[in-house]
This record gives sequence, structure tokens and C-alpha cells, in this order.
Amino acid sequence: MSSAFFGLNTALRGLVASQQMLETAAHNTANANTPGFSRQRAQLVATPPYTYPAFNRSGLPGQIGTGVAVATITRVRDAFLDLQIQSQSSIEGGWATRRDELAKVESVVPEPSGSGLGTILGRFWDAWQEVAADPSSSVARAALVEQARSLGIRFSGDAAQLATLATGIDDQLHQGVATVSDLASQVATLNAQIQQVQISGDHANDLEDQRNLLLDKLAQIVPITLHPEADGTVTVLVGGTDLVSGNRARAMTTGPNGSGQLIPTWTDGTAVSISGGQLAALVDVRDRQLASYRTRLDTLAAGVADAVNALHATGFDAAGNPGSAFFTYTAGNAAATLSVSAAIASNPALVAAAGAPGQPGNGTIAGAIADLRTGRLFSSGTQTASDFYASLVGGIGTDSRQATEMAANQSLVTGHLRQRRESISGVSLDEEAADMIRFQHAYAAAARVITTFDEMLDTLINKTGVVGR
Amino acid sequence: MRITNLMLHQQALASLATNVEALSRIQEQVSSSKRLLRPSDNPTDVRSAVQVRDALAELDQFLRNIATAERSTSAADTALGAAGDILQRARELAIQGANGTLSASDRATMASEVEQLARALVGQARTKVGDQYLFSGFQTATAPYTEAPAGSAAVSAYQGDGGAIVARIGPAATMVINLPADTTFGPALAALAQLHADLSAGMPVQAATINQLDAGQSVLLAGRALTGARANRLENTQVSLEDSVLSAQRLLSNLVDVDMTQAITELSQRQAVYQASLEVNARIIQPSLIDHLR
Repeated sequence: MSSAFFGLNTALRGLVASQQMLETAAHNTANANTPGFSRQRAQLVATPPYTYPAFNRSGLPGQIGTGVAVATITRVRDAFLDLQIQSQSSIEGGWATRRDELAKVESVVPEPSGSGLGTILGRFWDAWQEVAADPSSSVARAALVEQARSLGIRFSGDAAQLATLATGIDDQLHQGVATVSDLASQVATLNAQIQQVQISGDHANDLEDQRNLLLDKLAQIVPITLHPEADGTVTVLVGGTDLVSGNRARAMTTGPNGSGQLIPTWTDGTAVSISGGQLAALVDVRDRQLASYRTRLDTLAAGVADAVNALHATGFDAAGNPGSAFFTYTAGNAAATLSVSAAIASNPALVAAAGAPGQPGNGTIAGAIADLRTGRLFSSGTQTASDFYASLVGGIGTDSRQATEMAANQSLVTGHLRQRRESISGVSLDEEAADMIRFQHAYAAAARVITTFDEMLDTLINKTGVVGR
Repeated sequence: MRITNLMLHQQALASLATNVEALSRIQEQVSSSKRLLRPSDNPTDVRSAVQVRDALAELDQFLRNIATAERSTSAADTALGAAGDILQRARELAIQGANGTLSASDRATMASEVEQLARALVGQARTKVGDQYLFSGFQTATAPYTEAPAGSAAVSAYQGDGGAIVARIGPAATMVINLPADTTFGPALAALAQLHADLSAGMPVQAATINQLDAGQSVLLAGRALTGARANRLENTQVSLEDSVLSAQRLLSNLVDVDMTQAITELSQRQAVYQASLEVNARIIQPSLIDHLR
């Protein structure tokens, strides 16, 4: 036979469990908009039943239930989805970075507005035609020198813009590795805290959510491999090296590679081996795409200058002296250094327009130089200067478009994955509100049970055995 | 699929962002009236546009070159026409001078008129376009002939050279725009000098001199015909270049410019879609079970 007070305890357990359930709902509702939060569920289990003590069989029917308890509070989360999101985030981060950087490159070639290098180059050839038509005109010569100077300024301006973009990428690499190091140390701190909680046998739900959020951010910058450890910590590998292991985080920094370019390195100077994410994309845009645009700009500048200089050297200036170099530039850095020779810039009479000395009306060399406009000087004699510039513009446009499209596609992929994660782990206010009603009713019912027991005990204690009193 | 409030919210934001982006793109196109604004909008078309624009600039330059060349041909035409008139008058005088009955003073008067005619002819040979002599070959700073001393119709040696000044009037098309005076004015000047010599010597003008005048006249006529042919070619080339300019402009416009009717239709569509998505989202996001609990 059980105690008269037995049921009171059972009801109390129901009361306490309902309260805890309500508290969980309150926690979920409070965090409905917290980034990275996964909804939590209190797992209810019936407490171990009570068997009436007896030597053999008690004679009473079965075990008696003792009520309910919250066994654990767990978070609703799909760990596999987290891994997928992290690996796709690296790809997304990479393409988004490419898209942003290449959009900046596009401003170097403001086409098809016609305010780019191509138009200046066209005016340069036009100026030679004017000199060819009237070689004795000092106005035409001065105009030519002015156009040539503009061409040099435009080339070096474009080269400088590309160089500035490369410097900007170096800055972003500095910031990127600093962010990685910062995130890594935060993950290491959380690892330590989670380990403490795990040792005491609990689930560190909210701390794990925070760690997941940090790892998501990290994955956008560098691709990561995760190894969950038995003690609740997670080992984070970047390019095979442990960025975070237990409560220790490794710092990432930047250093020069073999060709003197800034790349992400570990503190001992070895390069971080990465092929995705924002950092790798920055390095790739700088070393492959910007470098190739720069090389093509240099090729264009040097090609034009060499062809003009070669013809100019065969001509004769207004005084009948043989022509000197029209353009000067530093080999290997043609676009940035292209300028009209100082002598010609200060004295346009030195433009060697004539094919023979002492013929002021002779503009054959100027005409031949003007004809270089249609000369196939580039790409093994298949492209004119204008074609070559147009391919550069087309190349930049294609790269930028590809990056934009890939970034959009990839953001759809990660978007879907994030939606699925939100679908699993996100807080639904409707759901919580419905649960709240459920728990509230359960609480009220448990309280009602206590009242009933109270009345029962009242009957037993106060109203029993009072016959004849 | 389990849908949470945050998902609804994110979906609403994402679709609004997509619609706003599409709207802003079409607005940009309409307000700039350009279909392509940056190379990535359509790399192939932008590439073509850059080339067409360069071709267009080149065509414009050819047209400017033609305008310059036309100044030369029309100046040459005027000079050669005036020279022909001069020679015509000289021939009349020569026919008169061939008459043996003329008095010495008549011949002297005629000789001095011929001297003036010779000076006028040299004047035509010294025609300038801008500050350049037209008939001196490449020696544009030097007059082809110096003036004869007073009382003489003898002409100096040709001071210019045979340089052919070439104008670029089209893709791979060039045209010589000058005539050296020694082959154009030379025979006529020599004939006038001979006529002056005949008259000054007080004898009837020789038949050979008249033949020489005729030969000089025909050289001038040939020069004028050549100049006329050049002017025709310039005019024809100009017309065809202007056609090319028009078609290049049309091509560029097709590549770069926006089709306004289409763009504005799309703009109003996009606006409608955006407005609809705003309204739908406003309705969806608002209520939750919370709103209906007491």
C-alpha cells in the first residue's frame, strides 16, 4: 500500500516538468531571431516506477508510476547539413570575392561608354593622320604630341588602377588572416567551455550553436575540415594543419611567396595550402587575373610604342634630321612608364613625319604610322591594337560575368541548404505558442491534481474520525 | 517542410532583393538609354561595340581627311581654270602677233601684256592652301617659281620637287592630292616666255610658238581634268563613307542602346512585380498564432 502523500510527489514532478518545458519554450521564443540558434527540446521521460516492497509478491497490482522528469535538453540540429553548408560556403565565399574584385577591375575599362583607353588610342592614330595631311603645320604636330601624352597618361593610369587593386587585395589578405586567427581563438575558447560542460554530463547547446556560427564564418574565408572529438571539442583543419585543436588556436598571418607576392602563411612562414574560400580567391584574382590584365596592357603599350618608334626612326623631322624614338618606356613595365620622349614633348618639330630630309610637305612616315591603326601588330599578327584592346575588355567582362553568375548560383545552393537547416533548427513561433498552451494546460492540470490530493488529505486528516465529536 | 518565421522573413527579403535588383537594372537601362553599361553585361557585344566604335572614329577621320583634300583639289581646280583663261588670252595675242603688218609699238604693247599674263600664270602656280604651296611637291614651304625680273617673262627653274602628297580617304584607300608645277605649268610658262621673246624681238610670232602654246594649254587641261576626277572620287568616297558611318552607328546603337519600348514595358512589369511582392509579404509576415492568443 502506498503512502497517502505519494501522489502529491508525482503531481509535483508534473508541475516541475511542465515549468521546465515552458522555460525551454521561453528560451526558444526569446532566441527566435538569434543567429545560429537551434531550437531546443526538453526530453520528457517517465521517472522510474515504484514497486511495492514485499518479500515475495506484494499482492498489489503492478508497479506504480512516479511521474515525469526532464531527462535532457537537446538542440534540434542536423550535423551533416552543417558540414555541407560549410563546404559550400567556402565555394560561395570564393566566388563572391571574385565577383567583387572583378567588378572593380571593370571600372578600369569603362566600356562600352567609349571613355576608355580604346578611344584615346584612336585619337592618337587620328592625330598622326592630321600630321600626315599637313606635316608642316605646327598645330597638327603639337596636337599629336598632346594626344600621345594623353595616351601615355591613360596607359599609366590604367596600370596604376590595376596596381591599386592588387594592393587592395593585399590589404584584404591582411584583414582576412586576422579574422581567421580571431575566429580560431574564439572557437578554441568555446571548445574549452564546451569540454567543461560535457565533463559534468550536460549538453552545451547554446555554446555549440555559437561555435557552429563561428565555424560557418570561418568556412567562408578558408575551407575547413572538422574532426569532432569525444570530449565535445572540435579540431579544425585548414589545408591539413590544425588551426584549432582543443583549446589551442594557431595564428594565421601573411608572408611573401616565392615570387614575392603576399600569401596567407602560418607563423613559421610555411604557406597555408588552400584552394577555396575568400583568401584563395583573393590570391588567385591578384596573381592570375590582375596579372594577366596587366601583362596584356603592357603588351599593348609596348606593341604600339615599338611599332611607332620603328617607323619614326626611319623618318626625318622638320629640320631634316633623322627621327629618334617617339615613345620611351621601361621594358617589362611598359604601360606604367609609357611617355613621349622628353625632346619631342618639348619640341613637336622633332616629330619625324617626312620620308626624306628637307621636304616640309612630306608626311609619308606620319601616314605610315597612322596606318599602324589597321596593322596586325598583336597576337602573332592576327590582331590590331583596337582588336587587342577589345579582347582585353571582352576578357575582363567574361571573367567578371562568370564570377557574378557563379556567385549567384552558389549563393542559391547555400541559400537552399541554409533554408533546410532553418527548417530543421529554426524556431517557429506558432509551434512555440502551441507548445506553450500545451505546457500551460499540463501545469494547470498538475496543480489541479495537487488540489485534489489536498482535498483528499483534508478529508482524511480533518474530517475522518470525528464521529461523535 | 517545416516553415519557421525566420524562413518566411528571409524568403520575403530574398525575393524583395531579387525584384529590387531587377528593377534597378532596368531603371538604369531606361535612364541611361543604354542596354550595356559595363563589359560583364554582355562581353561579346561590348567587345564588338569597342571595335565598331574604333571603326567609327576612323571613318570620321577619313571624312576629315577628305575635307582637307577637297580644299586642295578645289584650289587646284580654280588655279588651273584661271591658268587656262590666261593661256587662251595669250593664244589670241599670238594669233594677232603672227600678223606681219603690226607696228613695233603694237608688238611692244602686246609683249608687255604677255609679260603680265606670264606673271599671272606664275601667280597661279604659286597658289597656296593655308600656308602651303600647292604645286611645289613636298617643298610646300617654297614657291615653285620665283617671279621674273621686270620686262622679262622668263621663268626661273622649278624650285619644288616631284613629291606626291597622299591623303588617306578610306580603309586602305589613298589619293594623291597635289600636282607638281613643273609638269603642269612648266610647258605653258615656257610657251609664254617664247611668245614674249618673239614679240620683244619685233618679229611675227612663229607658228612653233603657237603650237607650243597649244601644247601648254593641253597640259593645263589635262591637269584640270585630273583634278576634276580627283574631286569626283573624293565626293563619291565621301558619300560611301557617310553610308558606312550611318551603318556603323546603327550597328553600335543596336549593340549598346536600349530598345525603349521594350525597356519601358519591362520596367512597368518589374514595378508591378515588386509592388505585388511587397503587398504579399506584408500580408504573410504579420500574423502568427501569438496574435490570436488571449
